[in-house]
Formats: sequence, structure tokens, C-alpha cells
Amino acid sequence: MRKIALVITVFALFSGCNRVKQFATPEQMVEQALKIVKTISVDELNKLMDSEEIYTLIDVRQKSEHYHGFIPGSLVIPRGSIEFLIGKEKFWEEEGLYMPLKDEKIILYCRKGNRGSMAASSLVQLGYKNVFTLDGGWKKWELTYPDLTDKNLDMLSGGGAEAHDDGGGC
Amino acid sequence: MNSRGKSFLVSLLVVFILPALVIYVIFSFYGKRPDQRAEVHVEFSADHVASTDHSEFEILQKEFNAPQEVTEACISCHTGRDDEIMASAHWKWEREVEIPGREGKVSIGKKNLINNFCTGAAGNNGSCMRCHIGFGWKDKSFDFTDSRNVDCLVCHDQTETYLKKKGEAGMPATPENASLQFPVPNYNYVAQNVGLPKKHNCGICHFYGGGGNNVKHGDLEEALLSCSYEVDVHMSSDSLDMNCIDCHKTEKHNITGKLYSVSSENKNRATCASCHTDRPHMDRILDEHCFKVACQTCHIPKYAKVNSTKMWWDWSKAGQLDEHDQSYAETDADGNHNYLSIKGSFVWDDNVIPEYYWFNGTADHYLNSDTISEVPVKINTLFGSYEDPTSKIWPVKVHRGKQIYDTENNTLINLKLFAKNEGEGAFWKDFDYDTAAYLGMKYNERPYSGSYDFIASEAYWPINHMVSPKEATLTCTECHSRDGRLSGLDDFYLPGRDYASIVEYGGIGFILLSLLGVISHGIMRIASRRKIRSY
Repeated sequence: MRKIALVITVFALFSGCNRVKQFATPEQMVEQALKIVKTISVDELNKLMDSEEIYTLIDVRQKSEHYHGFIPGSLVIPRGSIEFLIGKEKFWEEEGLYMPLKDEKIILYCRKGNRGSMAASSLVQLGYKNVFTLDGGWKKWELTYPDLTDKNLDMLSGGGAEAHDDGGGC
Repeated sequence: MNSRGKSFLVSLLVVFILPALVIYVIFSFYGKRPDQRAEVHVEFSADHVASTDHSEFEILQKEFNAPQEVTEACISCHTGRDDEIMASAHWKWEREVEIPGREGKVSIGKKNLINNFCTGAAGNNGSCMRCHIGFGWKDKSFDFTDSRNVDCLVCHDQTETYLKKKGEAGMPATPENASLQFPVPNYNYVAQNVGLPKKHNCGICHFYGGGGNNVKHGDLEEALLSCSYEVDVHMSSDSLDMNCIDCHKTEKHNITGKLYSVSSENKNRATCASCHTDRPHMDRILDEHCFKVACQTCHIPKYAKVNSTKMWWDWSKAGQLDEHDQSYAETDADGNHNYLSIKGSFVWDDNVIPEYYWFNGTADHYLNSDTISEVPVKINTLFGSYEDPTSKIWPVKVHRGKQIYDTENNTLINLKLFAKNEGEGAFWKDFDYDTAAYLGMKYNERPYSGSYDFIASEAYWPINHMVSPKEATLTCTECHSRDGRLSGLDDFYLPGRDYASIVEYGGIGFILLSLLGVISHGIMRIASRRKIRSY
């Protein structure tokens, strides 16, 4: 009898461990993501941009958002693709950029910070050790440094931008 | 249980459980005041039912050839109402006020103030005076004493078909200039269907000020015409569906409410307390916040909840033309213009967290006789401080930007922006800042040296609308925390935010020592009792 009770208890414990964590709102998911992701402020990023330190700045918004206005020096990899492209050497070769190593500083941003946090948490789970999300995202940057922005509207009018909305994975 | 056991239990009760019970009772019941809550004055949300069928009046069935003829018909019955209108700020666009720190009275209003949107209305009458409640204030010759110039319909039209034409200084379209967008109004139809102002009557100007929806206010925009409960608990179409004048009570055409971009005095305001009283909560601690915190601070945690509002306007970028020498427009990812040749570059934002300032209901302004004394130039200044007993913490939209100023005279410049045709010197047609500055300053009778540059400026707009449901109000820790919303207000002690290590650790140390003392004392009492009994 004791053995049966022990088996049932152990099974119950392990089955509880396998349960997928449920969230009531996407905001709770972001909150959870921020527990494992570091944040960087727009002022800290601005200082970093003026320094010699090596970093990779990635905009995880859609390309249709990015080209309307972005932080200079940032590369767009939409959130739906980032896990698949971050470690794909061919992608970085085509972009003409150096592929970031797992211990190098990577900073992600989106419109206001939510998508960036989720994407950053994915990279942490993939083993990237120095991932940051930009607090307040593009909007915070644009409001703080309106003269330090870039845009490329040609990419929106068929000048090389992909016609489809590349939001879904690989 | 023997007597020794009972005695041990009693000692335990005295040492541990009773103090815990006292603490629990204090924290649980202090502040609860369930039967003292003041009731809301519900009459403010009363329905507006027209008592008169204006279509039956013969005078409104005659043919109207001009809008002034409609006004004549209105005031032939509503005698004296024109005088009330002509005494109001909606008509005069200025009022005499006393501003703290300035001597005597000054007359200020949209008529003469400078802003950091289109720099000012005066001199751009064709465009800006479309929002004057009169007909044809196209220049200084406008007769403010002629009651025929009062536009009754723009505020009282219930058909939503009455429109003033763009660029005509407040005149509706005529057969000569009518278009598909702006047809000649059907004056009989409109005049026979009038009533108390609804949201669209106020919104046609107050939603679109600054050249587009929600450009200026951030908390007043066309979404309020039909919004959800989450956007605004008062105006939502699925709850109270209140009109502007339900709160902005009006007597003799004097509408309560102050817009501090053009107002200065703590008078004639529309307040939350007029309905909700100054004790609106079921909780004493929350009610005590009302002494120092405006209702809006907790109940409007963000503004521009539906459409974006303009946060940054840089005039120094204006005037760039395309390869065909034509003006052009660019948009941001949300579809809002972030560049216009005629106006410069912009930054918009939505769901904006306000900035917080002390505010006592009085404000100063950059007057057209002032020189620049600080950078960024403060277009208006909200007065208030913690020490001031009439001040409260208020949520504010701050509109920042760069605007043109006279580098020799050290003054902000009124630009002439609007003209119907090229060659008249207006910036929006000719893109020549020097000429536009010269003509704008000339109209405003101010000196212009001929030398200009651009300077940073800020305008402060207290937030009052887009009240959230109670479930979405601020929680305690959004302010009472180290990097909370009030981190910028540093002239007072805020529990949870401010600390000194010696006080923090000292306090914890005292608590621990006290507990240790109580427990040691209790143990000693128990031990000593056992010893006494063992003898």
C-alpha cells in the first residue's frame, strides 16, 4: 500500500512539472520574459553607440514598420524569424555583417518594448548570454533622440523590400 | 491538560498571538469607511430632449442666402443670446487675467498667444479662424460687435451636415467655392434641427486643433465620438455616452472648463468633484490622496489610447522639396505624418504615459511682449509645488519641438503660414522662412530683425479626458516605488520611493530588536514560571 502511494505521489509531482505555463494576458508573458532578459535604456544605448564596444542592434518589428523609421545601425529581423536567422551564417553573409557569437552583446528593440522582450527571451533560451531589450523601444528612442533616426522609404515602395509580410517563422 | 500546560498556552497567546491579532485588526480595518461614501450627482448625465420642434417655425422655412441670415432668425426669438456669446472667450479668443509674477492684468487667448504647433493663429486667419464661432474673421477688420457674425449653427447643429469650409476664415461654402467635401449647407434643414451641443459640435474644433485629429490634446480626439468603456468611462457609447456639456456645465453661454494652453486663472473650471465629490472612495487612505493628487493622476494612467498624438514638432526641418520642387509628405509605420514639407518633422505616440507636475490651476504663458529667458522656451508654465496647499500632482502631456525665433531680438516668431496663393509670402506656399517671419511679425505688430534660427520649446497640456475604468487605475506601486511614475517630482518625501540607508536598516533593526525583546521576555517568563512552580 505504501509503495502504491509513493508511486502515485512521484507521478503527480512529475506530471505537474511537465505542465505548460499558462498566462492570462500577453502582458504577463512579457513580464515573465523580462525576468530572464536584461534591459538597456535609450541613454545607455546612445552611449554604447558612441563607444568602441562591439554590439549587434536588431529591430524585431516587421520590415513594413522598420523602414518608416529606425535606429541608425540597426538590422531588421522580424520577431517571427529571429530564432531561425540569428545563428544562420548564410543570412549574415548576405547582410554583409558579422554573425554575433553567443556571448556577445545583442540588443533587440521593437515599437514599445513588448515584442523585443519576448524575442530576447527566445534568444536567452537559445543560449545567448548577453541579450538586452531596449526599454521603451523605438518610440522611446524617437522621442528622446528625434535627430538620431533613419528611414528608408525606398524599401517600402518595391525597392528591395519583400512584398510579403514575413511574420511567421522560417 | 494540566494547569502547567494551560499556563504555557496562555503565555504563548499573550506573547505571540495577541500582538499579531492587534496588528491584523489595525491593518484590516483602518481606512475602511463603507457607509460614509458620498453619492455621485447623477443629474449631470441627464438626457437632453429637445422641447421645441424648430421645423414648425415659419422664420426657419424661408430661403436663406447667407449664414448670417440664419443667425438673424435665431436671435429674433432667442433675444440676448448673441450678447452672451459675444461676452465669451469662444467669441473673443482672449480674456483679461491676472498672472502670478506679472504686474496688472494682461489680455491673453488664442487671439494673441504663441504656441509650438503652428506658432499662432493671428495672421493665419483664413486657416485658423475656421474654428472661431463667427463668420469671416479673415483679418483685423472683423467686426466683433456685429451679432450677425455669430455662428449659432456650428455649436447647435444636430444634423452633422453643417461644415465650415477650409481656408475661408469660418465661412461655410458658397455656390462659388463649394466642393464635394464642403457643399453649401442646407440652411433650412440645419436650422430646423438644432439642439444642445453634442460631441461632434465641440469635437469639430477641439478634436482637430493643430491641423489633424488628436494633434494637440492627446486626450481629446474623434475616437471619443464612439469609444469603448476602456477608452473613456464617461463618453463610451456602451455606457453613459455623456456629452461634453454634461461636465462642462454652461450658463448663459459661459462654458465651464479651462484649457491651460490659453488660460491662466483658477476660475470657471470643470472638476471631477462637481459630480464625484471630494470623498469619492470607500477608503479613507485613498480619499486622503485627493488632498495632493488630482483624480486624473490615478484614473487616467495613459492618454491617446486609440489614435496617436503629436509629441514632437521640429520646424527646422520644414521646407525640403522633392526633385520636382514640390512639397511632399512621409508617414511613420502607424500612418501618421512624420514629415511634411510645409510643417517639418514630427514624432507621434499612442498609449502615452503622462509626465507628472504639481499644478494649482494657474499658469503663465510666453507673451508676445516677452523675450526668451530659458531654453527650452516654456510656451506655458503650470504653477504649483508640494509646499503650495492648493497644488496637486497632475498628469500632463508635454509637447516639445523646435520653432523659429528672432536671434537678434531674442523672441519667438509668429509665422505667416497660410495664404490662398503663391507669391503672398506664406510659408506653406512659398517656403521662404524670412518672408513668412517678416509678414507674421508685421501682422502681430512685433519687431523682426531679419535674423532667425530655431530653438527648443515645450508646451504643457494637463490631461483630463479618457478616464479609465476603476480596474485600470494606477496601482500603489506604480508611484510608491523607486523608479515609479513620480520619480521626477523630488520636492517631497514619498513612501516607497524615497529612502536613506541608515533609516531603512535602522528601522528594520529596531523591529528585529523589538521582536527579539518580546520573544526573550516571553521565554524568560515561561522559564521563570516553571522554576517557581518546581520549587
